[in-house]
Amino acid sequence: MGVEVPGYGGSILYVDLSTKSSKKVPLDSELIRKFIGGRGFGSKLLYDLVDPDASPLAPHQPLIFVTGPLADLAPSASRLNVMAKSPMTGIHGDSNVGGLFAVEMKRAGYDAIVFRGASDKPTYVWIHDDSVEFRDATHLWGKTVTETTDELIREVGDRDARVACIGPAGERLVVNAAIMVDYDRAAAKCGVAAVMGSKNLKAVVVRGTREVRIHDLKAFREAWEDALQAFKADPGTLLGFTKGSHFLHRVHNDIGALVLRNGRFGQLPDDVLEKFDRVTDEYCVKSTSGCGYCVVSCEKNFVVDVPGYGRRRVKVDYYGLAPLSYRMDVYDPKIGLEFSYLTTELGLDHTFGQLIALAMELYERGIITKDDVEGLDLSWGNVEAIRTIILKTAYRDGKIGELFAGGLKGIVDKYPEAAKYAIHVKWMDNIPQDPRGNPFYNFRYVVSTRGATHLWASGLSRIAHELAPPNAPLEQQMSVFLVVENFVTLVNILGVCNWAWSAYTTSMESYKRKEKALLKLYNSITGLNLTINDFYDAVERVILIERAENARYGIRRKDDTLPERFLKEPLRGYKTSHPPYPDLDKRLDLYYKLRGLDEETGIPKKETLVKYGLDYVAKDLETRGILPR
Amino acid sequence: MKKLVFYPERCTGCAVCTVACVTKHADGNILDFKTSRIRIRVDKQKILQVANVCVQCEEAYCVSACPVGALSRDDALGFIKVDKELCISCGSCVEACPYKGIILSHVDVKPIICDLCYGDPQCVKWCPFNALEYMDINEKTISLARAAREKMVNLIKEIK
Repeated sequence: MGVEVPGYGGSILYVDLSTKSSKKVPLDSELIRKFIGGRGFGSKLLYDLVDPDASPLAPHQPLIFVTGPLADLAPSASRLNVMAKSPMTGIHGDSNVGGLFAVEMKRAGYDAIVFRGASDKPTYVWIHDDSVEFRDATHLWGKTVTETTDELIREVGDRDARVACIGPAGERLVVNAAIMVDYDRAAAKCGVAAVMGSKNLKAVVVRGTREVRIHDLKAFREAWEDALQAFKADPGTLLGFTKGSHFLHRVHNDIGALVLRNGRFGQLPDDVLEKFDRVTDEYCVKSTSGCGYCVVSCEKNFVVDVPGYGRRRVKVDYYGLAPLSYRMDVYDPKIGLEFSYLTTELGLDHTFGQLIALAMELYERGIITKDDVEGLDLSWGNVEAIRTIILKTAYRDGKIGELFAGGLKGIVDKYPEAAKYAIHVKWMDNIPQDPRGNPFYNFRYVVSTRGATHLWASGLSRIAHELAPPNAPLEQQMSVFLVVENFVTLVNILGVCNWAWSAYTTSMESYKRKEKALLKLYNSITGLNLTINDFYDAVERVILIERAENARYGIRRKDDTLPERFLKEPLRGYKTSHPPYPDLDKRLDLYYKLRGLDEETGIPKKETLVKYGLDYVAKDLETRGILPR
Repeated sequence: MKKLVFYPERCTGCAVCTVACVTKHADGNILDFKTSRIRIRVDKQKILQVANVCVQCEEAYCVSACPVGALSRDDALGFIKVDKELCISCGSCVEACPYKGIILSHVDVKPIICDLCYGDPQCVKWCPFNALEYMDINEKTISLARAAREKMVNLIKEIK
């Protein structure tokens, strides 16, 4: 049954690129109540629409753009989730991006856009409120992100239109490619850009001019004031504003948990650390800019000379700069910024540097030879070699392009001995902090449904440690872990920013205030009067359905693990040392129990699925022989 | 009497002020961001983004530019009043403002100018970065406001 609820765009747009047709389907109240929005809608749509047995790049696979009910209506709220079966990992794929695309999309009347089919030639889709146009993009194929975005804004003739596009890397189906939004914000994880490339979809341009309706304006203003007060009162807000995530170079270094030499060392020399710690002071222009309604505005604008391009602005966070610099033994932040610029323009994920780090270790061990990489010297820190790899991968050029285009899995498939050195979980390479340096918190890499990611339990780090210090019993640690994972999942469902709402939250009191503000915002906007339990029931459903999706891809308990190196070797730093990752099995037992998952397999139990109203998922898993009948 | 002082260098362009403004001036429960009295302008690269609002400048170029005398300064609060009966929607005030503080409404084509929320400007309260202040008018604040406006003009050049 179709419903119009304030705060929601009101419909899902189904776009068929093969037939160049589209259909607008109103949201139904059941979907809203059960999954709320954002990552919730996306995971449900993906479960229902994906063909689990077909290749992620098969034309009929869905590529889903989805946003949440608070996007455009709350502080730090403008997130878009891009979801698909991932060509990087072969499992559930979800990538989250800021900028104002989600805001325009919702104002145009859509909570989600589902792209299926593939165009026979390069195409872009121009969505202007109710109108959906398929336009030729042949002239844009091969163009960089800035060239494409500039040209598209000119072509549609509306400066307020927002562009999500792929660069050369996405066109060439590189699994580490990124969908770039508003020039330099990236939906980079899980290879969603390669899915876009496989559909010959160069870009999506969107503009919405519908009015915004609020259920209860007075309560809405109060909720905003509560939220703003909560942010103002938390010292984390100022920290994020001042340095962005670049304060983490020092934090992770101090505990000896940086990922250096491909996971063999955890600390930088003091003088190098100093340079990276001061990177925002040295290279940032004064103006800071934020995503939509961002009360933290953690994004820093760097200005750097890029050889061959001139003086350029680049936006990069800690998580992008580290892999593009010291993880490859490049100790000059300026070079890291230059690589950030290159990868951004070519539409390549910043964590691509992690692949090069693996290749450098393999080269050091003689597993990769000079001959395999067109004569390149892959010694640690070789800036020229790194530049060549970035360019050749983005254009999938020569032996080098082929080797790196398939991601970590591509490298390991080619060199089976590389398996024990590859730093990944479920073939996702996103491990910014070494779990040996912080075992409790970094359990997040093990169970995240999209493979290794720091983002799905990123928040509340200080609170987590306050509630469950490292020597606390595992039971206590794991129950706190669930609190963190639940809150971050909620944030992703609502369409607000994970970083602003959770990562920069530094006390239990602040977290409770923010949680309350989110609920009040939601209810004042929608008038649905949900309770906090309704919120967290939706969270359980989302995690269950994502795990059920992964179960269909064959993911089992054995895959909920960490890289071999982290489980077997200790981690050293100059002043720190950590033993191999402890108690993985015990932690997993506890996690499965708390989530209602089968302890042998990690698959959701039938009774848990039924408890949360996911009977149809249980039935589907039974039919497929994944759950016993 | 008090006035708005806007510090462009503190502004991140987050647009929280537009929510404060639009929700305060909303007609019913519909939010029309196009009628916000404070707006975010962005440069071509969408990197530099900064708020634009009327700052009740002493010169009031808009008032002198109006050919029909539809604009005047409110005696009590100092904001610029619009007499919609007299206004002929010619846009001279928009052109005259060096700070881009005025737009014409897409609804009735009359100027939209900050009314200081009648003495309790919400954007000042809500701005997370203290980029706006509501200050008593005296010699010191006038020169402060003048310096801030200079910066604004320079930024607008960059945006253009």
